[in-house]
Amino acid sequence: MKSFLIKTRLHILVAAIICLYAACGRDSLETSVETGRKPSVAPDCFGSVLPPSIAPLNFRIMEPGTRYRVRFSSENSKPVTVNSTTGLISIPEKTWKSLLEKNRGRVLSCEIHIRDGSRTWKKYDTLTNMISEDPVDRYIIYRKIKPLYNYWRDISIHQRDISSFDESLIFSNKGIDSGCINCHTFLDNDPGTMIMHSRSSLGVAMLLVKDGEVKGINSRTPFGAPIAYSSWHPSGRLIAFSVNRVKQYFHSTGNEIRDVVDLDSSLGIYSVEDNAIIGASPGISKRDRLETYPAWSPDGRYLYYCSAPLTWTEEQKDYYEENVTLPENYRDVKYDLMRIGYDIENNIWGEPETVISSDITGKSIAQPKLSPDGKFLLFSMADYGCFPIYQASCDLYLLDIESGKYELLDINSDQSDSWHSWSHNSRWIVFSSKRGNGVLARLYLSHVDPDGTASKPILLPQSDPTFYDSLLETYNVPEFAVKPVTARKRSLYAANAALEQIAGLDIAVTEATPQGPKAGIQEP
Amino acid sequence: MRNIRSLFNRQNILPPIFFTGLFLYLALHADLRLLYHGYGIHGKGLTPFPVFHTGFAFFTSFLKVPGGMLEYVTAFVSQLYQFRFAGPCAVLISAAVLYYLTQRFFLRLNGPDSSIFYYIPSLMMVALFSRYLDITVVVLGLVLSLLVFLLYAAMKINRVMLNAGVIFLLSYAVYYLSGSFVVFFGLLGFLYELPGNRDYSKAALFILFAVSIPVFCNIMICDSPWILSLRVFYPFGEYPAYRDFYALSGFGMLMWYPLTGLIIGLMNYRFRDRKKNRAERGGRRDSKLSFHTLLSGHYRTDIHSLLLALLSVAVLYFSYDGKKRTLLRVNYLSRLNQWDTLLEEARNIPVSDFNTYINHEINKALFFSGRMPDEMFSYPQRLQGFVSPAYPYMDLISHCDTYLNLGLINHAERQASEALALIGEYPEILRQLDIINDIKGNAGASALFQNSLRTSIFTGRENENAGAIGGTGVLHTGSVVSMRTEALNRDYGRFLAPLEERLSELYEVNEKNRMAFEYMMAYFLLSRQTDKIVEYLPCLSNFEYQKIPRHYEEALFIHAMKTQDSELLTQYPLNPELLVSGRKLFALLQRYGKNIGAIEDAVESEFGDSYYFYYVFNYSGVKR
Repeated sequence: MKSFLIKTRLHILVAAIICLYAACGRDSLETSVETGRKPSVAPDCFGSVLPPSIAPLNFRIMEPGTRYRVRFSSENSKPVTVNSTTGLISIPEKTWKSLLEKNRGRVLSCEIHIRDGSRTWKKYDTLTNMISEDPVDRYIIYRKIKPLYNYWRDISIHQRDISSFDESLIFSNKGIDSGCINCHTFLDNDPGTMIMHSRSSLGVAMLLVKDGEVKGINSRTPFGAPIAYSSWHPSGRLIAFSVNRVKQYFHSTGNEIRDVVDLDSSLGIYSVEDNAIIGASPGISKRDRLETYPAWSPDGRYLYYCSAPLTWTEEQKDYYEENVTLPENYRDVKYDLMRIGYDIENNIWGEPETVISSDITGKSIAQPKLSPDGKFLLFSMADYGCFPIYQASCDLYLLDIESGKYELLDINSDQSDSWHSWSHNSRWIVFSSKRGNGVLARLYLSHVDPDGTASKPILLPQSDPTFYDSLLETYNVPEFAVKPVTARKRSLYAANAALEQIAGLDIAVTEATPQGPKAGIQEP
Repeated sequence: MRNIRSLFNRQNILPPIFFTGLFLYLALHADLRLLYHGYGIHGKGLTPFPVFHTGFAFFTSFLKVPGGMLEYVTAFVSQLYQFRFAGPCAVLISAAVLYYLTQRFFLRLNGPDSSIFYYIPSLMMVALFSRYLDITVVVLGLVLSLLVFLLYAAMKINRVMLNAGVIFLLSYAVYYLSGSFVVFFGLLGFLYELPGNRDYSKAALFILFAVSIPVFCNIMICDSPWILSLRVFYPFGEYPAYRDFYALSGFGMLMWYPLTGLIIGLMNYRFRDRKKNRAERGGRRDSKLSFHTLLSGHYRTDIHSLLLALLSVAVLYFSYDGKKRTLLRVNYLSRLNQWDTLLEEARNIPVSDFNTYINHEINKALFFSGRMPDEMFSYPQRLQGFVSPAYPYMDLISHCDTYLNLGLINHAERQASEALALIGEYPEILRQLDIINDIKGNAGASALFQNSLRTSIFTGRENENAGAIGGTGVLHTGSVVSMRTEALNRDYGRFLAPLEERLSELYEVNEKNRMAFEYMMAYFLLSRQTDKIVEYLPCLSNFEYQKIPRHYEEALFIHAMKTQDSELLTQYPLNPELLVSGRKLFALLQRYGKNIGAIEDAVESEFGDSYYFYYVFNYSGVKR
């Protein structure tokens, strides 16, 4: 009797194991049914070129199923399989890194199998990526904000280690009495030498980091506006900057409400060594032109910038500013791409020359950025004006410096693509794009090969593939950096609270209507 | 039997009566739902809404910062205030816990055995809530600190190093869980050890850790500037709503413990020798001297109950802020689209309490209940802030709602976006942005806001409340489609084009846009442009009016009198009674001429709710 019971129990146990095995045991992928199509995944991170040190491209499979199996493989490594019951594919970091590292210059394949309700496995067409041999700068420094109009509460600058998911805070407006913080610029992609701007009750500051020292400089100029867009001369001795009488306007119709017009703007040169604004060429500060977005060539021999004719009078400027009324011809303001020669040793300026004329393009150029190898110039071009982020028409273009030819890159979308930065080896770009939602910008990376062909952009990966789905923050002003920002937050805050005056403020920054200081602009 | 009786003795029955009373006060009178829906009313600064999302990622984001857990729990509890009973229940539980912890606190400090003291923090807390100050973060921080303090006080550790280690660990735990409440905890420990136990070293350790842990963590680890480190000594520094007089009230509630602790300590110190004598006398109390016997005696419980009742009534009476309650009640009824109730209750608002915000909400209620052209002047009216309430009562969410319904989509988007930046991811704002982007055809953006809304807790309930068109309840596709056709299609190049121009434009874009039409007519009435009313009267046929609305008739009559064009009165089928009253008023005007002010009260009682009165006196008389 006793043995009978034992046997019965044994049979039950075996039967249970078989049932369990049948229910959820190993499934054979060999019998998978071919679907003959590619699976839908989000974010779309395939068909591109990957930096060899990028963090895992976690994604979500947007196909119905009860089980998901993803197999990554490449020539020099064993395949890596990731299973999921939700469709969220989270790739182990170490395995991923090893896979990419061993297969630089090779194709990374991704096979996706999905089991449906009828317990049948379906196999989708293999997705691929190319693993680049070109290294990418490890850090991206960017600003994170809510979609802002006139008011704000939280603005912060962060750095992201793109070889992992680590993000750290560099500067928050909490430390400067909830003021506004904006553009940051590095010398040669090295945050050891950088500037950052802020506006708050503590003052209008340019925070300058150099040789391990942090200085706060009162960046208000006689122009009536603070120093805005800047570019380091490769020598590290000079900073070319623009001063902009920026005014934000609002459209009562149309998709984008906000618009920004520079009622006046000009360029100037700041000497880091002397903490002084030095006299620059009258050619870059003309009374009848709006000059902005300075960018030094990597050899320091040319200053590139954007320039448009000033079409309103001084009285009109005041009217447009005080009445928050868009200038009637604001759509006709189109910026040319210009450059001017400069010999730093002898402090001799050349004559301004037009590189690309808006008369030819019919559009307006902004944000010129030269590749560190000096071969290309990446710029954005929109229907009009100087504030590309608010214009869906804004796209990225690449100019071959040598041939003078420029072309629209394939990486653009139907939304604003702007705020771009080059990696130090000129092989990668990062830019801000509002694709997908039209309201909030995200960061995209793209590989640019030596002949100027850009690969399909990939979204900056996050640990949670659904991270961006409900994130109500916008990423802008991304800048590649080879090293992390080492300036301590408290040093930056302290520098912001004790501002030094710029010497030589009595020298007119520009020929363009110097004015007395005005109240800080409230719009970020 | 005796036990059962003892359960119902006066002493045991007092707490349930007290807390039930408080609960009923909060649920039925103060109504914490007003607090929840009041986020977004611009007073001295917008209060950031404690956002709460479901999901592990949201939870873990709070683990990274000291005090994050307190913020997380606060955010969750704050969501409960949108329900009639759940919010007061949460406050009740907090009050009861506070009562119990205060009792234990007093016992630990050898304080007076007088129950009335135990109720004071709960009473202060309810008083602040009844002023619609969200002090959840303070209450929860207080509860946590007291709990950890009592845990420490219950430990009997004699070894010095071990004791120092325990104080450090507990201080760090309080700092990690509740941030700057470690300072409060340190103060409690200091007062417990110094005047109470006369242990200087332990007291010093409490203060040392309370100061050094936040400063060290802020400066050395978080790399914050020293000025921000000092901020931790102000427990609600990040909450602008507390940066006014009431901050002191919240702070007062917190400081009540250290202050009473100090007094108790000093008193005990004073009586220590006498206690010693008492011990020598064999434990008999000297009733004349012992602090423990204060307020004792045969009728002690009765006296306590009476005192407590008086104190409660006094506190709640003096903390009651009728004006604020009116404002929030109007806001609440508007958010839930309860237009008729709003208009009914608005009749009882004293004229002196009216402001641009209340006006704005009443006009909205008048429109959505279909009573605007007939009853507009039954309420105080003013042209200023007619569509956009002016500072200091600026409700961005309500602005957005009005603009959205009018068809000023970009205006609505701007208000909602400003609200998002200032208030945070409050469900109502997310819903508005979702609708706006849906109207604009931005599917991607709409999905983004929907996703965010989906992870907000209790959003189902919110959707249910929102209702159909009107308010922010424009959730049906049909409505969205119709709103697309109503949207303004001319870019003024400036946001604040004259209101008249914008309303006329909206009406021209879509002659079926009833809200634009009625608001435009209301604008003409308020700006006393009777000629415009007459000009647009033929447009009434675009809508389903049964008759010419009362105020339009009155305007027509005034215009006819002004222009001496009596033919006008024959062109439309007018209400004979209105003509009679109009003629009567005109006769009075002719009789008194410039001295009409002398009979203003008499005129107001008869014509107060008419447009006639507004037109003559330039304010709405309001007949009650």
